[in-house]
Amino acid sequence: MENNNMKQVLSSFQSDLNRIQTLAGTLSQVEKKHFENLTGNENEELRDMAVAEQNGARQLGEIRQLCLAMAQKIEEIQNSMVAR
Amino acid sequence: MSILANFLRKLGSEVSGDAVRTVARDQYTENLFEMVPAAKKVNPINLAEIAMRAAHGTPIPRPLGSHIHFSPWEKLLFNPVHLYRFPTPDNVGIDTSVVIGPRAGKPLHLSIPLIIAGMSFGGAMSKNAKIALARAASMAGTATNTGEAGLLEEEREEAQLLIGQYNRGGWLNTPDKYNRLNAIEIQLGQGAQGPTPQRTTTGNIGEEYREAFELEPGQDAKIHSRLEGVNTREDFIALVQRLRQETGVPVGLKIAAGHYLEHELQAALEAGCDFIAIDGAEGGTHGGAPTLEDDVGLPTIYAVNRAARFLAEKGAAVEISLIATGGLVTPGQMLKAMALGADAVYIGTAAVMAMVGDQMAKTMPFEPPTDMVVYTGKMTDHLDVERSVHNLFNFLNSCVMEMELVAVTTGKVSLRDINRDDLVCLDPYLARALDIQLGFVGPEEQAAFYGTGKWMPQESPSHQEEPRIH
Repeated sequence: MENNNMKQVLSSFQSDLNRIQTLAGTLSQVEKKHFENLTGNENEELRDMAVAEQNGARQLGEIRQLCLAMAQKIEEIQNSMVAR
Repeated sequence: MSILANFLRKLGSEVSGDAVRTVARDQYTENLFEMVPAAKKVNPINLAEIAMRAAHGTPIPRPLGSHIHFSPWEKLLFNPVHLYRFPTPDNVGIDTSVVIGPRAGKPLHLSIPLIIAGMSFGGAMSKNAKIALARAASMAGTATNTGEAGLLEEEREEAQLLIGQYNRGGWLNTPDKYNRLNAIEIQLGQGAQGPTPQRTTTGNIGEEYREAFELEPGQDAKIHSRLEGVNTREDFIALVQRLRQETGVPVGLKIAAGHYLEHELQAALEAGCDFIAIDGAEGGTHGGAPTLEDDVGLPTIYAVNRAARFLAEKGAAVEISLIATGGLVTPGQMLKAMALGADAVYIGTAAVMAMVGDQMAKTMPFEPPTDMVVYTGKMTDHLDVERSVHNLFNFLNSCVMEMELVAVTTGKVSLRDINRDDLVCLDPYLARALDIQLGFVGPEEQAAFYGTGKWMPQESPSHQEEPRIH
């Protein structure tokens, strides 16, 4: 792949990752809100749903962190390509 | 009805009155009350184990490890902040994720820092218990560990992330098996039993066990004291390098903590291990000799502290992940181990207890609850897998949420950020050993309290940190 093409692909990956991490962050907040709404309920089924939502929020938070780390790595690669 | 009640009451009164009179009048040598000081002298556990040794004539396999609380976790407390630093705002999510083996080709990404410890199928756990452990771990975004076993297909299917033990039985040590793992843990020992040999006799080996371990009919399952082919430090280094190169997954070492810990960690460093699992003296097991459990090893709190400081001194704390294990049963203990430098913790006993949870009633009062989860248990069919998954998943979630609350109260946004500075110690010797400030006196008075010129300022610059008000 040509250098210019590679730069474009990397740039597109970085943009997509930023989009995914934003979505994951937003969804994580939504899940957290659901957890808060569902807790304090005596109904076992709703309580289980609350725990699942909390777990979902946590895993989305992890996806967000992964995307951030990957986007940062891509930036490092881009910078090293410019330096060359 | 009232006549019967009155009769029973009168009978009870007569019997207890007679018992009290007998205890008061009889000589000690004829008195049943002798059992009380006798049991207090040797303690009820030792008393029962003396009788078991006398009956069997061989070492007695005690489940779940030592009952002695070697690690004084209760002497450490987290520091809440209000103005020194501000608590974490409500709307900020606490990052609970952790990466095991960050420099490996395929690092292990976990959503939470709690991992299910190595509890082998067959040697320890039933198939249903292993399935439940794996499924709950996957739901929570974490890994489970095979223990010293062969590859159980059902466990592999259920576990999104499976850490496999390259073990002293040799059952997972071929490429067709270890290439299917997400991380490899070379198991040279465990907290409860050190590197001692173990054997499951053929009478306790069922068909599925034999199949997973690839044993011949009539063949015992033996765990040796040494890993086959590893008789020198160089052999170990070569093994780690080969596995890292062949698989690309994190390759780690698991050992029982002992006083030569730093020497053993040096070998792991030279070998290029991606992670190290340190099993303290409180480590659990399906059944180990009480002497190995109670009288051998180094308690988890000191082991984690020493391992973390060693890695930091060698500049390897970021590259090499440290997993603490051994007797960590509460979220507070788990988080304290992390504050001392562990990246994650393995939980075994607590996970099993959580899994059994409200199903305990099925075995009581005639069998212990673990009878439903151990491979040789008589009541393994009574374990409700779905309920076990539900219970363990809830337990993991509950533990991590409690840890998140500590992060908020200490003003941190990630569990990884919680460190020794967030702790205070209630024992002067322990405080010095762990490099944690003593709670008896203020930060400025530490040196005066100890009668020394200074309080280790070179290792703990943050101790002199100015209050930060955001």
